[in-house]
Amino acid sequence: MSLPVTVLPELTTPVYSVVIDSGVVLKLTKHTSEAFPATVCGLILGLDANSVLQVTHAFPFPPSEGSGSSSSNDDASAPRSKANLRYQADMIRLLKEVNIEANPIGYYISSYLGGFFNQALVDNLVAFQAANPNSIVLVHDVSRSSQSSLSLKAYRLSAEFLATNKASGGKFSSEAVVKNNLTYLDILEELPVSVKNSHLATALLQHLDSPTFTKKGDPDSFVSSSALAPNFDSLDLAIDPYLEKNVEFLLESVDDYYAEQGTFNYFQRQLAREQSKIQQWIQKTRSENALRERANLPTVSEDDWQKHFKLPAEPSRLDNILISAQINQYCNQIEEYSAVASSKLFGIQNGLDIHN
Amino acid sequence: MMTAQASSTPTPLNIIIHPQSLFSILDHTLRRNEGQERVIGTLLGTRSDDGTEIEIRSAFAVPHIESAAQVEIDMEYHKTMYNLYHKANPKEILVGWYATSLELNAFSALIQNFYSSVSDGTYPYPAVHLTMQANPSSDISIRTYISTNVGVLPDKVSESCLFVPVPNELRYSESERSGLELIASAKNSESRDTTIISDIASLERSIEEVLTMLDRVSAYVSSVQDGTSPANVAIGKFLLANLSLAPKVDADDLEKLFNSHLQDILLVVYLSNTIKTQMELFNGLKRTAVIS
Repeated sequence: MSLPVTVLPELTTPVYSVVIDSGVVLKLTKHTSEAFPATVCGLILGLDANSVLQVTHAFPFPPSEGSGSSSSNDDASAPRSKANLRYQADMIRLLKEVNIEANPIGYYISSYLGGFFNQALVDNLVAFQAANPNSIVLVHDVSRSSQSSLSLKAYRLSAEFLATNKASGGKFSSEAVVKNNLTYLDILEELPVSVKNSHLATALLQHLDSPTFTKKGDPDSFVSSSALAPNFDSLDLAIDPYLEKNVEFLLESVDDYYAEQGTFNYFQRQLAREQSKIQQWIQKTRSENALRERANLPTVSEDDWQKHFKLPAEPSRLDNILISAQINQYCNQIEEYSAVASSKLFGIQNGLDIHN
Repeated sequence: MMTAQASSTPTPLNIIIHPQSLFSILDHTLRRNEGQERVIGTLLGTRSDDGTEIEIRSAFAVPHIESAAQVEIDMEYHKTMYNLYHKANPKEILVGWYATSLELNAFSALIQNFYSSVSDGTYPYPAVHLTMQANPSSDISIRTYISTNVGVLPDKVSESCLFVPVPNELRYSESERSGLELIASAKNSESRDTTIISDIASLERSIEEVLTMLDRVSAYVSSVQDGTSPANVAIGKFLLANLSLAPKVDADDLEKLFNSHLQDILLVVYLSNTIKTQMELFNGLKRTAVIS
C-alpha cells in the first residue's frame, strides 16, 4: 500500500502552525456531527508552504461495508484500507479538474470525549508521515464542541516517537523507549490552529449578519433573528452529564492500564523464572566441566545455555504508552471543564445573592 | 413532451440551505479558470417525504465551458463525482444545481432540463436552481427557483423554461453552530483569521456579550424614565416578561445546591490530579527499572 507521494521527505521544511479554510471547518463539523456517536474519518488536502500548513479542502470517507458491530474499528483504519485508497485516488483526480490542490496532507477524525489514542491512530500517522513529514491529524471532539466553543486540534507524531518506532522496528522495547526519551506525554505534538476566511466568505458573513433578516412590526422580531446570532449555550448550567461521561471513560482507561500492566508483569515473572533456570544450568555445567576436565573429556561451554532455554519475548510497550496518554487526556479534559464549571457556579451564586 | 407534470408531483414550498454548501460554492468561484464568468455545480441534499421541503446540504463543482453560442457541461464528471459523494453520504441525493450569476438565460434552461431529466436527473421532482451573486463589488444575494415548462415552440422546448422563485432560508444544526460562530468571529478582523480559543476564553467572551447587552437595555430603560426616549409599550412588556423569568430560590436551598455541585466538581478534579501524579510516578519508576 502506498499513498500518493508528492513530496520527498528529506526536502520538506517543517511547519509550525496550521491554517484551515472556513469551508473545511464547516464540512468537517457537518460530517463528524452527523455520524455522532460513531467515529468517522476523512482526508484533508492542502499545501504546506512557508512553515505553515494550509488546509484547503476535505472530503469524508464512505462508511465501510461489512458488519455493523465492528464498523467503528474499521472506520478508524479507513485511510489505509484498499477500497478507500481507490476512492481517494478517484476523488483527487476529479478535484484536480476543478483546480483544487490534490495534495493530501493528513486526515481528520471525530472523537467522543477525547478517546482517540489507539493503535489505528499510530499506524495511520506513521504511514502519512512517511509520505509527507508534515502530515497532521485533525481531531474534532463533537461532544465538547456542543458544550462550548469549537474543539478542533491538530496533532502529529513527535520526532522522538518516530525515532523509537524506527529504532525498535515497531516493537517498542523498553531500551528503545528509554534511549529515545519517549514518555507518554510526548507521543503527539500539538500544532496551533487558526481559521481563515476568504474575502468572499467574509462578504457572505457580513451579509448574513445584517439586519435585513428581521421582519418588521412583529414584537418577537426585536430579538435578532439573524443566522449568526451569538451562541449562549456555553452559559448553560447542566454540568453533570459531561462530567459523568468523562469520569466513566477515565475509569475504563485505568482498568485497561492495569490489565496491560498485568501482562507486562507476567512477562517479567516468566523472564525471572527462565533466568533462574539458566543460572542453575550454568552452575550444573560448571561442576560437570570440573569433573570432565579431570576425566580428560571435552568440556561443555557455558554459553550453550541458549540452545536449551528460550527467553520469552518482551511485549511491546506501545499499548502502555498509548493508554497512559489516553488517561492523561481525560484528566486534562476534566480539569479544563471544571475550571469553566466552577467559575459559572461562583458567578451564579453571586448573581442570585444580589437578587435576594 | 412533458405535460402538466407540475400538478401531479409536489412542488417545494420552502428550501432550506445549509451554510456549508454556500461556502463550497464561494470556494469554487474563487478557483474558477481565467475568463469564466460564472461557475456551475451540483447541489445535493434531502427531500422531505411529501416533497414540499428540500434541504440543500452540500455542493460540488462541475467543470463547464461557456461561450456566446453554446454551453458544455462535463456530464461524466457529474455522474462520477455524484457516485463518489453518494457513497460517502448515502442519505444525500441529487436535488438541483447552482450557478454564480444572477441572470437566467437560455443556457440555464438547457441545464435545468438536463437536471430534471428522467435518466439521471431529479425526475419526477423538479430540480432546484440556486443562483448566487458573488461579485466582490455588490452585495451577496441568494435566490432559488424551480422550473416549469413553458410551451413556446415544440422544437424549442428544451431551451424554454419558466423559473419560479421559491422562498429559502438558512438553517444549521447545533454542532455546525459552533463552527459557524468561530468563523463569524473573524469577519470583522483585518487579517480575516482567528485562532481556536480555549473554553475559558469563550466563556469570558459570552459573558462580556451578555453584559454589553444588559448595559444597552438598562441605558434604554433609564432614558425612557428620564423622558428622553419615547416609551414603547411592546418593548416594556417584553422586558417585564423576560425579567420575571428569574427564579426565586430559597437562600438555604441555594447554598446546599451550590455546595454539593462544587463538591462534585472538586472531587473529580482531585481524583484526576491523583491519577496523573501516579502515572508520572509509574513512568519514572519504569525508566529507572530499565536503566538499572
